[in-house]
Amino acid sequence: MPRIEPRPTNPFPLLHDPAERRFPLSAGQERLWWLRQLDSSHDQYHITGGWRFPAGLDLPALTAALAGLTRRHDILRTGFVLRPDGTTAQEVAGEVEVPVVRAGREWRAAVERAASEPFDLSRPPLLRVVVAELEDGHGLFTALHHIVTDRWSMDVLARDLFELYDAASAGRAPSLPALPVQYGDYARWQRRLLTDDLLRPGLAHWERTLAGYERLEPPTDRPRTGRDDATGASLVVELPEEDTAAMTAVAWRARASPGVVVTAALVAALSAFSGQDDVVIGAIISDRPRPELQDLIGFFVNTVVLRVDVSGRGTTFRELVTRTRDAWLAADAHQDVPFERIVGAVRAGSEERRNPIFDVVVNHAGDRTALAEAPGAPEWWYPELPVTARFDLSLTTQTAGGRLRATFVYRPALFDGTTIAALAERYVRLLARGAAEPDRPLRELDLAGRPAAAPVAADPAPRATVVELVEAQAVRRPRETAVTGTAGELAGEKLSYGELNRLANRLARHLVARGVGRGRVVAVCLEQTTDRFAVLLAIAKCGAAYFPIDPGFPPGRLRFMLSDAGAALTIVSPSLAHRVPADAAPLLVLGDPDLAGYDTGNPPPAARPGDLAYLISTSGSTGAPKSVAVPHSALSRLVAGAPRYLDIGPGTTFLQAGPLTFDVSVLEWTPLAHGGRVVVTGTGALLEDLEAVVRDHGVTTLKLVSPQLDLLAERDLRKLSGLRQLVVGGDVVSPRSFLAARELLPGCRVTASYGPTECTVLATVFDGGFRDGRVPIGHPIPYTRLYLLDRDLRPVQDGMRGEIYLAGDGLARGYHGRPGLTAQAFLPDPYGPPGSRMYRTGDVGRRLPGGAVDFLGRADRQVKIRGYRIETSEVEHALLRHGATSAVVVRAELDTGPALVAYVVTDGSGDVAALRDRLRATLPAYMIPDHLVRIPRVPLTRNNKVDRASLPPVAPPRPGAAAPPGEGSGTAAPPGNGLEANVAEAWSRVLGRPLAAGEDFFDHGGHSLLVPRATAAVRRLLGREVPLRLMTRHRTPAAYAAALLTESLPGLDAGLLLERRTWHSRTLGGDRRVDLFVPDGEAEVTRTLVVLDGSDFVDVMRLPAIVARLAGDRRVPEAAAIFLSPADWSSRRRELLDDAYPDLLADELLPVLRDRLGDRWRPGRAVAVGASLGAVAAVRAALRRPDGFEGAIALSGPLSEHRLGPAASAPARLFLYASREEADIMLDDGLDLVEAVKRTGEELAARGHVVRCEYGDGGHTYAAWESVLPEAVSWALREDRARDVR
Amino acid sequence: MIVSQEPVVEIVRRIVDKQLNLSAHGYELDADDDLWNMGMTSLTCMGLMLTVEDTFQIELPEEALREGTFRTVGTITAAVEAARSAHEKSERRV
Amino acid sequence: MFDDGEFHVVVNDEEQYSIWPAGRDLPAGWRPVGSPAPKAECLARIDVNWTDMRPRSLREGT
Repeated sequence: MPRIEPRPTNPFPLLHDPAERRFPLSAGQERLWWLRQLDSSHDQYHITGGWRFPAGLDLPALTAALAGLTRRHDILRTGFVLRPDGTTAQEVAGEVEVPVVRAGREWRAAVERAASEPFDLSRPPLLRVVVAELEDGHGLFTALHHIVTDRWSMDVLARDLFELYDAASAGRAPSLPALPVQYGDYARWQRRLLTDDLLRPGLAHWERTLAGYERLEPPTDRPRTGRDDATGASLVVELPEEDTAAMTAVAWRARASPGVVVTAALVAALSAFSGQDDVVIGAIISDRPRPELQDLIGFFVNTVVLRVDVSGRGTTFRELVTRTRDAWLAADAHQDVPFERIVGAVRAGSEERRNPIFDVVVNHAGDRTALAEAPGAPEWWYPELPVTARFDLSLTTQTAGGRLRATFVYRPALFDGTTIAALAERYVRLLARGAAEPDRPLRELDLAGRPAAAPVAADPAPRATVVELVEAQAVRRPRETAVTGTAGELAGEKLSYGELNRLANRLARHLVARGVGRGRVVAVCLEQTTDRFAVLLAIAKCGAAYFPIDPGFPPGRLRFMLSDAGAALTIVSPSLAHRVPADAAPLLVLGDPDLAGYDTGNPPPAARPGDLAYLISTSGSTGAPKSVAVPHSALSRLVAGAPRYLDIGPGTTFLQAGPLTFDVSVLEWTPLAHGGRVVVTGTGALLEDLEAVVRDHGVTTLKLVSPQLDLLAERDLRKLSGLRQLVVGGDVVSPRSFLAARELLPGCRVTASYGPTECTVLATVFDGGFRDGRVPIGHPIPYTRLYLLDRDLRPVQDGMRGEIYLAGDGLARGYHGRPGLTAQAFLPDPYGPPGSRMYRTGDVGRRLPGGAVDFLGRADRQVKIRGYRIETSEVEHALLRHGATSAVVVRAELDTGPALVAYVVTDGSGDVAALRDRLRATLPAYMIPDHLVRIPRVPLTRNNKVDRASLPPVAPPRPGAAAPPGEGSGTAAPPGNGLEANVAEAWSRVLGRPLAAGEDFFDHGGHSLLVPRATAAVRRLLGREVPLRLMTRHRTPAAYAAALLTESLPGLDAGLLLERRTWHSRTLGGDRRVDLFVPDGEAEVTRTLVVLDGSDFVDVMRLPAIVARLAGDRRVPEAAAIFLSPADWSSRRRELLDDAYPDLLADELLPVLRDRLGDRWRPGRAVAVGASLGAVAAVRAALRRPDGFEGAIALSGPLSEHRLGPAASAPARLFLYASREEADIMLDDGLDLVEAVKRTGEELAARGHVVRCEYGDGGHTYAAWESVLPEAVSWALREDRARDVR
Repeated sequence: MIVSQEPVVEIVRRIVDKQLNLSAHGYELDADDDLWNMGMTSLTCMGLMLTVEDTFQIELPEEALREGTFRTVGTITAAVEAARSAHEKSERRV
Repeated sequence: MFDDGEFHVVVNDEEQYSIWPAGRDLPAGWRPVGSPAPKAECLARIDVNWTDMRPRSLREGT
């Protein structure tokens, strides 16, 4: 039995303070408030409720009832404000009037407006009423902002309102339960729980629970854009009474509630939908932990996370329910941790516009009869309103009338209605079957509903081998051209069918004489000439299999391949002979043997359908190549069905632009078998001459792989205008290129194709139309079956993702000489004829409405980064859409951790940084590659697959170093000034990880829910209001600091003269910012200040204005000041503590000010001013250079840590300050900062200096220093020093 | 958990009180107080059920698995006592 | 996929080998060989036993 952790009690008393009008917001309200500030363009957080009054509504009674309602519930008179100190509060107004719109018969617009118009949260009541004239009587419609209500509250509202209404109508007193407390009291009470100490155990629980979690990623029908779209649609399904009762019984028996069971079913359905076992969803809990709260209207909702693991082959529904129950119990016990704290604790991703942690939410509205369903209560009225979706998908369930009603609300921007319908169907089935057989393993329950489109047992493919077919063509059209292209050793530029056949016959007889026959393998290494067709045909006529090898391979590898395949001999073109080792198999150089003497008639038929036709080598993931062995029967099946989807009959000319070693070349048999013509060409990897070849040879049918199409699309596709069909195959067919081809080649049929070598070149083709997104792979070709199966090899429901398995007559025999490898890839086919097999492709797909298959990526090409599962193909698609010519996205394990790296090929004008920006506009942040590396072209393997191993490694920028070229903006520059550094530090604390000044808060673990905390930290630092929006527009500490200064800094008064200069120091080197403040007018300046960390004192603390004001008030004489900033932030510390620094100040800096003042300067000594480390330097200046300095103002300095000055020196006047909170700051010598200041003050006073120590509040912040500056400056610059007390 | 001579109703009262955090809030729980009105949710009811069964080492029979059983301290006590005596009866028969 | 658990080495009438999860009904036309074992062991056995990958009907010329 699991240990049931009880929910910690709120130990504080829940009391009502009748005099109090202002309260803090509850944690949940605060989140709603901030969400509203962040994005007020639409509001997803309205709650509506409507009721019918068939007998009509008495308006005066309604008005009285509403007044009574708002009097009774303080929350309805509450407005929400942001106070000057940056905190939020809710304030209860004395009286409010509820706006009632009497809409009459044309109520629809009024109701919609009431439901959607944003509320001004500061102006209560956050409640609107519309009275509508329905066909029978009236309808009463209310809309409230969620910050003052929830579902439970709407029941309370209904009950209270109708009682008040009845009472008003009848002229009696209303009878309602007393309300011992109001919502504000609750909020205050709840907030007392939210201290770091009290939250710690809860946070620890959530960290443990969510450790290593992965976001649930249901496959979307449309790619996710970065844009917020709350438009929703809904789908309702109901569980019949019988099943509902069975489900309830199962719930009780499992010691769970129906809410748990419906969650369990959702978890299982989502698991099937997404292919993930470890499911993380959100849950909404209605929380009224005290009886006094039951009758209140208010927002009593917590958001928690449920994580349930569905895995295990034998997992039953009952077990799933138990696991779900335990997740619910744990979540319930720890629901007091505000959701944004959970988000912070698990550093939930960098996605600003996406809900953190989860996109799917479950909400069980309870099984208890709603209050308002009590007898006599008005009937609910549901006018149709646009649906808003707060999450990608949410499920709200409710039991009513003995039936479970499940409402799915989803975002149509992401999901088609049919997809959600499929999910809902599965969900309902799970509930029904799970309740019926709770102890049967889930995997065995019949959940797929409609049997997966059972591929009909087709007629077996015709068995005529290509030899027979070509021989037949040779009889039928002996003089028609079969092949054109470059001349070879055996044949010229053109070969007719007759010539081809005769040539092949001669060669075949020669081969037979050399021992080639059935079951043998002949390797071929041939140039792209017309010869090759004769060679391949000859080999086939012997009954042997041909095995193309790549002359570019190292000899050692070729040797291995040849002996591994058991090649009887190797046929080579003369120009390639030297590349092929002769020791593994004897060489036959074309042209060497004299074939003239051989008979030209067809030799006796040798190849049987079961004999191998060819071997094609594919790279193995373990390094050693493996060869796919394809029998004639499979080749026959390809050839026989081809005319149904390929233009390859008589009158056509076919070209495929790949080498023999790539199985696409096998397609060349198809025109030859049907009387078409084939062109052979030797274009380079860049297909430079392709358009010319197409034109010159009159190519009608062109087969490309997708990188080749992309290449051509870059040039002008219209040059291919003679084509009748263009077939593009491969992994990621760029929709852009594909659509461009369709558009620019209107007379051409543009077809997509898909097929692994193991299924003999092609498995599916696609001719149809499609939306943006992905090009589907389509429907199986003849004699081929495609299954989409789950982990248990069962067909998945339409629309659900599954792994692609191929079956039928196109399957290869296996991997040559690799029985084990073959056995694990070619499995028994449970859905085909007895003894048949199916090939596991390792690709993932799903069926679209209409039956075409959508390719979702490799099963192993999903990567997990920062909790997100990312289909790299999806990112690749996006890059292609935004201007990259080609793109490859991989997950790299860098020193800094896992990273998403995109390699892109762009045309010259494309700037990588601009590409990243464009991506930002459409892709969610977590999918934006961490590194965008430009490459000149995508490296391809011999087989025209992406050669991932050849992609250049990524070196992450060292912190502080310049960004690598091509990367765009530098991300790791150090802070430029104190404010930046402070902001970076404040944000780092909120994020729980270091954030550099140039780094984007949201890209490094931040989320909009953390914005309030981050902004509050800055607010505390500055002591003044900072707009929240600033952070969404300026996402790095550097940008933010700059914006802070420009946006919030009031202009300096006219009359202040502040000059900024760049100043170079001889002693310490480097250029520095220097600000000179010189008072207006011509009067003599008797007092001067030298201020360190000048930029902070000028820009943030506005010291010049303070000095000017003090002078204006005659508290100090006219004073001038020079403000010195460090050369750069990283060297600040070193500089300030440098022994020569006081000398720099006295000897180099003071003269600058003196020069500037010119005649106005009256000789005298200056006062040094500094804060933090600057305070140490200021005191040193005063003690070590009494010739230049008479004293110092030292704010919050770690004074005891550093040697300040000589034991004896001329007395100085020193103002020392520390903030009481700085007792938390521990120094290296064991003292805290406050003690350090105190002790130093005492020591210095003992040595004869005039010391004044002040202690204040505000911490180590600009705000605190700014507040003490007037006092400090007055004291330091005061005319009458006689008042000093020693 | 060894169940002592303490009356069942007292133990049940204590369990409910702990589960619903009642006395901490200054409530004295009566045997007839409707727990659903005192803030019990279906989740806390589940927790209550599990704790009751674990404490008394019983398995509530099918007919007791209803919302009504958990409505008050009194009804819970009755169900527990019924389950225990049924258990004892079957033990005696052996 | 079903990488966990035990498998049978299975064979069809053409004497082609493959594997199938233990405890699941075998598709028609396939029969088990030997006792169930983890996947890697099954594949190792197949590597040893499946010496001629040609279908039986081809070998026998039928």
